[in-house]
Amino acid sequence: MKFYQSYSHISARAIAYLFHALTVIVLVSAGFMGCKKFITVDPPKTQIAGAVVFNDDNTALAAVTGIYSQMSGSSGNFIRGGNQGFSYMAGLSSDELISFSTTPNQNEFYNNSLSKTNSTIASLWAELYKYIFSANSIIEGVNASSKLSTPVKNQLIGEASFIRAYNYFYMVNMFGDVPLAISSDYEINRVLKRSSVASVYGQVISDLVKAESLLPESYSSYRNERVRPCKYTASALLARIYLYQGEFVKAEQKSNEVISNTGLYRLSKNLDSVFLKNSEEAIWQLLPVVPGYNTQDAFYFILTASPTNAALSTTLINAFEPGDLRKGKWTSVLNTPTGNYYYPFKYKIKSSNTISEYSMILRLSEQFLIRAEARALQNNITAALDDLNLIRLRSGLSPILTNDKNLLLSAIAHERQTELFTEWGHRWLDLKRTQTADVVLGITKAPNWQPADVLYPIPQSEIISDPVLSQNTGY
Amino acid sequence: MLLTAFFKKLCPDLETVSKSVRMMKIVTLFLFVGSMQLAARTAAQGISLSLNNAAFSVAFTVIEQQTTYHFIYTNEQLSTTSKITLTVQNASIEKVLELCFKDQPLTWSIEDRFIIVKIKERKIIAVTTVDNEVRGRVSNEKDEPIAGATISLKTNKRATTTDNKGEFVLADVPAGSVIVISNVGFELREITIGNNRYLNIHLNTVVSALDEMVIKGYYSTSKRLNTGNVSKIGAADIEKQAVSNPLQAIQGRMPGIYISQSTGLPGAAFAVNIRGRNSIASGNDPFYIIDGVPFTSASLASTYTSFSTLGGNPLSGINPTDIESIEILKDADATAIYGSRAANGVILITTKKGKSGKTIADININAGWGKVSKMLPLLNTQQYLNMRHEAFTNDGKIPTADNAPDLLLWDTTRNTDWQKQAYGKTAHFSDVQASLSGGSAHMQFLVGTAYHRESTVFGNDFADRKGSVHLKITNLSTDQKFKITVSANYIVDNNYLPLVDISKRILNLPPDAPPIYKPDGSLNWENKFNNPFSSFLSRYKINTENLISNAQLSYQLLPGLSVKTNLGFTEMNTHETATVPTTAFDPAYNLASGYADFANASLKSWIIEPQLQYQFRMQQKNNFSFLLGGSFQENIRQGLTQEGYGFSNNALLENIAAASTITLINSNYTQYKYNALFGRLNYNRLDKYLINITARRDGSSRFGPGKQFANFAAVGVGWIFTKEHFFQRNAPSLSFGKIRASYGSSGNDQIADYGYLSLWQPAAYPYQGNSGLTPSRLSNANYGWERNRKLELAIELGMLKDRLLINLSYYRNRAGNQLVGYPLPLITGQSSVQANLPALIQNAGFEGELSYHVLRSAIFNWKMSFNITVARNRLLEYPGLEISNFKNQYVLGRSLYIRKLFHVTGVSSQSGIYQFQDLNGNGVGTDYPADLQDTRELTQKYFGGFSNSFQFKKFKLDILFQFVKQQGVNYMYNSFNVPGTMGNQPEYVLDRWQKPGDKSGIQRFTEDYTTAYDTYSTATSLGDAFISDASFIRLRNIYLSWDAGGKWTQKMRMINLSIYLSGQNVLTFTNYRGTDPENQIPTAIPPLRIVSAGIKLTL
Repeated sequence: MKFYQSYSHISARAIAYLFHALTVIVLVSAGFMGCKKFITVDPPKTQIAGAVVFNDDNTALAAVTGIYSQMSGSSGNFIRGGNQGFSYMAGLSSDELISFSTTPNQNEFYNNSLSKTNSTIASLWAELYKYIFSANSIIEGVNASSKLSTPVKNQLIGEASFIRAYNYFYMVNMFGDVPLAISSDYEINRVLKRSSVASVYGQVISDLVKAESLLPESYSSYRNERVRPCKYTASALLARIYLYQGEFVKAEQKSNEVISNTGLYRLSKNLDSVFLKNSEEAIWQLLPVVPGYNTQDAFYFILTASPTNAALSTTLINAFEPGDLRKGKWTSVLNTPTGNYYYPFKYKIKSSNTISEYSMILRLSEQFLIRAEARALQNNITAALDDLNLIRLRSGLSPILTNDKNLLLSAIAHERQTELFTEWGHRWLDLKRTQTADVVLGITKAPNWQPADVLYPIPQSEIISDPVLSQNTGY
Repeated sequence: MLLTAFFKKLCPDLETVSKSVRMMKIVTLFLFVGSMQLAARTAAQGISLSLNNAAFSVAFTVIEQQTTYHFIYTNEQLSTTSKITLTVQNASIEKVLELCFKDQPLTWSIEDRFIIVKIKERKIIAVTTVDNEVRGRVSNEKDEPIAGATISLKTNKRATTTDNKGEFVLADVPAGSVIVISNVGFELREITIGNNRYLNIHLNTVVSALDEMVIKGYYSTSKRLNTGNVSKIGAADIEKQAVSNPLQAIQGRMPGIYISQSTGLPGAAFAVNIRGRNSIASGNDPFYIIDGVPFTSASLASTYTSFSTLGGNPLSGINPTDIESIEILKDADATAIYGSRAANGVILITTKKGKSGKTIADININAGWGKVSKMLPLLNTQQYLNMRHEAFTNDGKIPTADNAPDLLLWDTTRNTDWQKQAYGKTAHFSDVQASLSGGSAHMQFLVGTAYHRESTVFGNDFADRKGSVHLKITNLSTDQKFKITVSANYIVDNNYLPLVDISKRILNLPPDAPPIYKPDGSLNWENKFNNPFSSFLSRYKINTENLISNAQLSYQLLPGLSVKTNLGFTEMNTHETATVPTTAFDPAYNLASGYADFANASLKSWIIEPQLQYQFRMQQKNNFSFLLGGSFQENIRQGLTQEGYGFSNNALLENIAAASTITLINSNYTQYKYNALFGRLNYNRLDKYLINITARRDGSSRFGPGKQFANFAAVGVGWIFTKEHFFQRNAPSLSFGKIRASYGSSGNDQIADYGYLSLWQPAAYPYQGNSGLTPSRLSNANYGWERNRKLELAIELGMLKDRLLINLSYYRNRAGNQLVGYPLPLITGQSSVQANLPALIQNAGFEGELSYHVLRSAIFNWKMSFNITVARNRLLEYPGLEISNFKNQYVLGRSLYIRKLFHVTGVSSQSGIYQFQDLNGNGVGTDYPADLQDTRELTQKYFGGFSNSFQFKKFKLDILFQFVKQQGVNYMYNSFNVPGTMGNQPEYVLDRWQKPGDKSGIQRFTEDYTTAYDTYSTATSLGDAFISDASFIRLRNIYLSWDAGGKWTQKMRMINLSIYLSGQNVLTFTNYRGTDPENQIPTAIPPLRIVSAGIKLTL
């Protein structure tokens, strides 16, 4: 006790004086010198400032790598696939898949009765604009930077332009007219009106033309992996867009450029090897990054028990001609006591720690079918038949021989159905672009089908937050 | 040895007393101690004694016989006394002692049940140099000096004040004059001056509730003299409630603050709203301060791993029973000194400290049982099957194995109450608290420790365990100039929960669903049974360590002038693991490995607040006090979230090293710095006119260059009109009356750090082995401080000698320059950007409080209190609302709580589907936005609480009712599928349309994607069908205790022993359509009903 009291007595005075001095110093400094310095903080250690990203070649390249990482990462759905991906949703919307889900979100696609508040629609919309925003930021960052080397600048602008074009292609095909954001300035973007499909395509084409001119000729700079776009990836997408736009000469020309690069692309002889990683048929693939998985499409499509997501429709199974090898190789069937369920079997690895399949985004056989269609529409029947029969031959089917343009066109359409099923919504988009959706789906999807169902609704949340955004008719 | 030390602490003045006597006395003392309760009662009953020329010690014996007080004295002391003659009837102990000691050379003080006898230190000073001078010393009941007390002559108001030793000199006081001794917090005394020119004056602490101290941050005042609005809850009320989060203890007890609990699981998040919603999009949390150290209200838990509905509230990291008081600062006068962070009010938490006196040990043990307070009444199998068949019939469809496994594949004779199966268990609570406290006049200490375990309604596999230590030491130097308080709170919390709240899946599970487990004990997945119980295999664990430490040093430089510094350091660490084993998946998925998420986060914060305080008085009437201070604070927050995959065995999931692949999900680091200069000027004239001015200049690193600093200030005035002669003459029944008003500004900086910087963050996964960068947010360098201008007018009245107290206040807060994450369309790539909105939001309301000490007697004591809050929120201004992103959300002149929705008018008796009010006359009724209406408001119209506390002999009973009038979200919102589709429904759907002509509230059942399906979806997501009355009256707390004290406890050397029963959330009266009107989330476990029993022991 004594010690304690004496201690407090002596130290009290000493501390008090120190303390008094400290207080006065601090208060004076706080009051008069201002404390701007004190409250200045460094940028967070785990992130880097936007301006710094484009000051260095490697960091700038990481910005574009980030987009693929997101596309393939666990928040990526649209491209990565699975039961939230576009292949799946468009398969439900068209006549490829039957839904076995108990989730209204998925069933609304299957029943062509999408609600404005469907959360999958909202997330597809959000996801694509996120990639577009990243691409816009990269293009602006590169253009504003004086410190990047020219090859890196070209590479970045090329890839970013390609990514932007790719995403807008799907935006217009899902929603029709969409807001065209080509800068990262939110002050402009937050009040964008919808641009016409034509003007969006105009931007898409100019982006792809630019990408063609800037991207590398081969995949060598990607360590010979086909997981990033090269010049021909841009050409391949351009070919598709020209076909959609009715510019058949250009469509033929672009698909021809891809097809004729036989050093790079060849049709796989074996149907089982088409979807393997870096397959010789691949023009662009996405590398799965989430551990434990190969493609999400395989994970969700391959059935080991009664389906809880989706299975292939009878319409599709019946579409295969007798002897079509694709029915046996690219689809499979699960027999259960309650029924037999067909499922897509293009990807064969449901899940594994070793990755042997990449997600196929663009492949050569589509280019043959584009060229076939473009040639047929230019009345070059013979050459068109050559392209079509090449694909048929590979599938063990006999060649088609005809002089009738319409017959040929419907044969090509049918071939697209059996060749490209559950890939990237080709069936859905084909029915829409050829204006046959009402005829075909009006029967198979009765009674729910309405002509307005060809377009998905603009997410309600977007209508709320962008005051000038209008809704599609029918919603 | 221990006892000696303890005794020294107790009574340091007795150094000279011989050891043996002292020991003897202590032993005696321990043998005869009585309970405090008993003592207090006897004292109130009064003492009668009659002595005629008796030895002084006889008085002691008589008093000890009649009361439970015991004298502590030495024989030496008694030897100096003289004989005593005295007669008193039914007098208080103080009165009796005063009379007994009047002419003795001894003095006394009461410490709990002990009357400590001391030698009068200051005997009459013989030398009086000046004629008619009066000297003296003013002290409290414990003989501690009272500095600053006023001694005035009643006749001409000439006055002086006491110094630090409590001493005073008043010149020229003729014999027979009356002097008045007064001080805040003490009873006034009048003394007639006789021959005695040295007065030893004891002042009694005033018992009026008005003189309770209230802390207003950097300073404190009494309720009587407060110019601002502060609500307070003390330890006594907190301890009555078996709660694990201090916020639960406030529910229903205070006006102006609405608290709701999100879920009944341990660690639940709380929504705390003080005087309404001031900010449009974010930042409506109050500012929390614990022992002077700012405390973050945001959970550190990773959003990636954490339990979906938990959210967490770090205040569960404070042990409620360590809290001495919680003060809620509401108006400008009270909050402006916290400037930029006080727009939404301030919650000040002060932890307990030791009291001088005998060292006592408090032990509190309790056990509790909690259950989900209400299960939603769902359809049984028969009703369910009927619904399904009716839906198929309505749609003209035939059930198949694919679209109706529940009808065709499952055993339709099964009927399971899935709610009971999933969360029908009893959660067990056990709680042990122990503390030791005591000290001398100069040093007090308190050390406490507590352990709390709380299991969940999911069963014993999931539980929360907490252990905490609380320490507080206060020391005052012998010259009473230097004071230091050191405190530390440390808590470790381990919370185990299922990874997801399965409530939604359970509610939707058909009652005929197959058994959970197969005969071999594994999960049953057969026949398309998407087994929700798999979620119980995925576990979430969060470990939280929380340290709050603080030191307050003050030194008195000159009389009235002191320097003070508040130093604080807090550190919180969380470690989370979320494990998903392969067994949680349908084996059909053939998953190669389970996976696990690991998240670690920490928040370190320090604060230094030097302050200078000066108090002085002019012409005895004018009291001034100044405060000038600075504040420097830094927070560093870090977090790392990783995901492991490729475990060779499910048993290794908690070990990240056992994963073959580790993915970085997120890593973050933020630094926040904060700097302020603040001041206060208070003027008090005769305790009648009060002015309080506070100001603050703040700088925060959350703002971009040039926008970092802002000024805030407030003025509060008070007029205690009952001090005016006019009122004293004309309204003598009014014991207290005050009118007060305040106006001022405060701000809000509850925004993300670095919002002004454009930043890129590492992407989650490398691509081709290269790591990527992605834009983390949109930046805006131009936003500045949000400002909230608060106005308050109030009247406070006391009647029946302050037994009845009434407070009425009106407030009007206007928040402008709204600082929000401005919502953007996703076209911009992000969902929001930090910005200022040109909106002005008004929260106005009325708060009423009444407390009435109905009966005050020794046997029966009855207190009641009532509070009510009526609040209105309005969007006053918003230039450009019509072209803004908020145009379909808000309406000028209306509340922010409105929801713009289609109005469901009912079910068509013809078609059996919902009808909507058609505003634009095109016959549709669901045109967006033309048919939207703003008639629905999702908030409380009024709310309050009513409590009664009774004490009858040894029994105490406390009952608190909470009442809330509100509209809320009912079961229809986002919880159930469309009625008729696969999935169970609440019984409410039985009131559905069946055939043309039916009048019903629920539309017809449908199984398919029909018009009825679309209409139901629209009605319950964009229509107002999901909004209905959610008012309730809830018996929030009931507490019954019995004081078991008696002779036997005395023999057992216990000071106090009581046994209690407590109930939390006991009964609810409501018409709410859903589970619980408080959380309004049918898909989360509602707050539990908890009953607990415990024992409290003081040694």
